[in-house]
Amino acid sequence: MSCGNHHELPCNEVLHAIVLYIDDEIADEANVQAIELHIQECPPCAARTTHEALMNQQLKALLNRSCREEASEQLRSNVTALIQQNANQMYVQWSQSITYTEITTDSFMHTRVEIHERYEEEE
Amino acid sequence: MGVGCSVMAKPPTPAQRPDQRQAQTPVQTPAQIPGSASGALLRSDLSARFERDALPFLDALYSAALRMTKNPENAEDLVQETYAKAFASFHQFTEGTNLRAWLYRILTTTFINIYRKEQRQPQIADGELEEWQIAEAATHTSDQGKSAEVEALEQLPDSDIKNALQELPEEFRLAVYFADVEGFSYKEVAEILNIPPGTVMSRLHRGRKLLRESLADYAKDRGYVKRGDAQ
Repeated sequence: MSCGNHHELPCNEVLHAIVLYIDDEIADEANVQAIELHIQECPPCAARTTHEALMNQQLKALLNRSCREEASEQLRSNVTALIQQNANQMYVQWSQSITYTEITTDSFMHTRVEIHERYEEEE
Repeated sequence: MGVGCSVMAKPPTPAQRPDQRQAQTPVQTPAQIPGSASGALLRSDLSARFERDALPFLDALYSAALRMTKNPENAEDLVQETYAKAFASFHQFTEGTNLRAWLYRILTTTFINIYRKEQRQPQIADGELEEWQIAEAATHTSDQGKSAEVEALEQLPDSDIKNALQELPEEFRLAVYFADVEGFSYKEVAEILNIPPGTVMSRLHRGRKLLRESLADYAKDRGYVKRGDAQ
């Protein structure tokens, strides 16, 4: 797959990088320019790039056409409700004693149980 | 949402529930005084901001969840769990950074933790994929016949495309979904899936190829492509 001419950047390197080039994933601007220069000079690589880009674009279009879903109203209201509910729980915790909340951040389960009981007795 | 706490004999108080632990962290910072007006202020501010910023992604998260769980009921559960977790750690989220990617990361992690615990990891080692990819790129075949394929695929109904994506092994399916439907960069996909960017590249390239082959088969089955028309 070569046009037979000499290039600064060989055809096989361009072919390896085609998908990255199309996906805009080549960070180094100099490399991008080298590939673009090669594509201008080399019809087979240019054709290959155009074709890959077309296929890539088509796959994206097909997926976007068919894979967009809409959440049900039920799900939407459930999520809204759980945000409210969790926000209220947070508020309850914040209005409790400092001693209590400090202890619960301890990573040891046993410590937490002990403190919890003491807390309940206080109530 | 009810994440029970099986370790405790007593019914869990909010503070004991594991999913609430992160939510309590703000209490420790001196700026936020428990029981004071600042708590209430923070609460309404946080939930309003969360609803404003995170809720618009509901449809998108549900779409991704459906691609993961493959059924609407589990997808809805997954989305709810994701929003609950996201809200619980929303105070840790830095405003101005990529909220969409952050939500997808939580979605993916939750999915893996809940639905995939017992399942095996990728059957094909990623190293092999790199080799495969290099071989594929170096020995590319003629493009003839592929334009017929491009036309044929356009005619496929949405259900075929969903099925073809659904049938892809999970590691390929998610890479393709996040890159080609959600438009994330390789780096973002790597963060969402918690895998190296090089792995994203090989999974994405392989996934696209498998998907395209599968779509071509669907097109053949429907008679859009004559046998031998596309290789």
